[in-house]
Amino acid sequence: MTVTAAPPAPATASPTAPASRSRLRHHGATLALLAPAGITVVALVLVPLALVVRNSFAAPDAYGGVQGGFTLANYRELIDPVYLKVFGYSLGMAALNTVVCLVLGYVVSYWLAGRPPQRQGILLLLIIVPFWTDFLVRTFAWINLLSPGGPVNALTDAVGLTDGPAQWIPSQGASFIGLVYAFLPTAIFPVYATLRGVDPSLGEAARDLGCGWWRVHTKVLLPLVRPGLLAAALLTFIPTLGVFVIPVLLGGGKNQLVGNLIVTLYTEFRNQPMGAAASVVLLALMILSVAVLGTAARRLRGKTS
Amino acid sequence: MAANHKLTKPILADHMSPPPVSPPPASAEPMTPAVRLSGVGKVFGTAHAVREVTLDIRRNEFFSILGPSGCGKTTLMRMITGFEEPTEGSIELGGVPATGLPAHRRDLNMLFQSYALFPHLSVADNVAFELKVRKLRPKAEIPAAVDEALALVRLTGFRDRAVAQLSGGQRQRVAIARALIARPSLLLLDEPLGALDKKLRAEMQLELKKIQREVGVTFVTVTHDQEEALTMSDRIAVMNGGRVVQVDTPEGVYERPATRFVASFIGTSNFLTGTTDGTALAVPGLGTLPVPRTDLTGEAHLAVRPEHIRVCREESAIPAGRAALQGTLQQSVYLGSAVRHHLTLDDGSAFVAETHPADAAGPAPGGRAWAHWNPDASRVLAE
Repeated sequence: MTVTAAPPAPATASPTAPASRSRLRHHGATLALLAPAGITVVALVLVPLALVVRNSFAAPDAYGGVQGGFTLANYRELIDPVYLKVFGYSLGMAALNTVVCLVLGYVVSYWLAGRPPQRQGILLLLIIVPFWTDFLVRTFAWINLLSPGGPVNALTDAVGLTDGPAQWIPSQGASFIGLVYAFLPTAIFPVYATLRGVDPSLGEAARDLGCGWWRVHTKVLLPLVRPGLLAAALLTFIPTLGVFVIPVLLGGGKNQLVGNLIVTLYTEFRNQPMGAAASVVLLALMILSVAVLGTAARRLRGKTS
Repeated sequence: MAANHKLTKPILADHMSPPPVSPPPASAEPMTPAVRLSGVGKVFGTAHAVREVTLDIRRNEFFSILGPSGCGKTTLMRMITGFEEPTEGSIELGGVPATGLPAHRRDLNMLFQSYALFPHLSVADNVAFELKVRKLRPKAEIPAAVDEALALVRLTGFRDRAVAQLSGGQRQRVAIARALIARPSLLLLDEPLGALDKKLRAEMQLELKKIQREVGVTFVTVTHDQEEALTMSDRIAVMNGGRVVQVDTPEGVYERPATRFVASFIGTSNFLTGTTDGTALAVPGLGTLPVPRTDLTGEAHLAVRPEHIRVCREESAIPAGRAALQGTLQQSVYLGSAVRHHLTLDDGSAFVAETHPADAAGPAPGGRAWAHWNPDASRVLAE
């Protein structure tokens, strides 16, 4: 080593040593910043989830507790037609609710997007404010609206559709109205956001090229908002599967959704392992629908871009 | 000066005179115009966007609606397409009243400024869109028709591309192919060259003209670009404040503007205001100038194009029969193809002349100078 070559050596070595040290410090800071969120997720999501999964394979004891051990009996029992009916009914309700919300959501979004820009903000606020209101409060509002002698009843009386107080609550119809009302905003937002990004001259071009009212939608606008519709479907279908307040308050608890079944198994039957098994099946159904809709969305994106 | 009249044939009210250059109508019914607007107007709330527009657009002509932004030209076009209904007057398309006819039932297509290509469809599906929707051709013939339409706009081989993969110029070509594949009798073009860069614009000007001749479709463009309108059109309607102020050939609107607005919007003009007796114009503070014979009397305006004006130092250098004004030469700017002289007249107003660089050197800046022109090259205007 020559004398002249020596001085550069520490010059090149010195920056690397602090760099690795600072990277370590950087890592430490990252971990520290992530810790609150990480601990929350682990403690409040992963641990309970692991407990539920564990319990779903356990045997119940006679006092509503869990006995431990490993058994598939809980899942085997869920295959009983009584339970299968609840799952089937839930899937059907969620599908129907999704379809109705998508149709209404598209119609409302299309109408909204055609309003003058200043007014769109106010109209959107009218949709958002109830959406921010508590779920339970909104459902109770419908009990008042649909009660005998309530505003809806007064209206149908005035029009001549009904004569005197009508008993609409509890009923399957009232329960469905509640579901649609609860999830309509979640369907509107993604569809409206997508539709607003569509160049208005595309609709005019479609008309110019021979499309009547119906085909402007089917040939041009609907294909273009398909990503928004898929997002809306996801946001409507999955939460509907887990709903339990609405069927209780508006449906009288007669036609149960999976959410109600789980509550019943845990509280009334005091059978934690069965409730856990039903929860795991519900979770699996949700993950499956996310996967199906997600794949559809990805395939769509690949086709348009 | 006032004695130096050179009278030539009087210039008629130009929007009434037949245009000197116009293509022969190729249609079987030469008398039916492609578009007839009769007293068309449109009111939005309290705003009168278009007023009393009456004009005929002939078959197979390249017609331009030219005006500054906000003059109502876009609204007028949207009424022809059927996107807006006129609140006054009526529109006939090919001799058939179009009032109340929805846009998708009109035998016309539009080239949108944003091109409005459907992003979820390929180039071929975009081009074939109208044939499929209107079921104009058997399915088996559609690919050949698409290839033919793409060949017309020189995009052969682009059929399977996605719209997102195309450049701006290519998108416009696809939009033209899509708009022309069903051979409409009328194509409306909304600012067709506005989104293109300068070089592409010049190329497309010529190409649009060529395509129009090839397909024999009436083209109506809407533009605020006077150069675009002058180079492409057979006739131009100049709009201002919701009204059509002049309908004429490019040469007509340039050489014989009907109003001061037209004279200043298309090219540049110098204006002098005074009183006329039909043969001369007395301009307060400047003197009396010979003008082409006019039926106007009383207050009138004289419009003179800068390129018709010559500049010299001595009064003796002015040829006989020319209108002349004296002023101070402020500046001469060399532009390559011309030299622009900025003068201040004796009443303080600005006056611009443009001469050829090869012309004899003019007066020095800062000195007194004469501006003179052939009276026949000037225009007397009432407003």
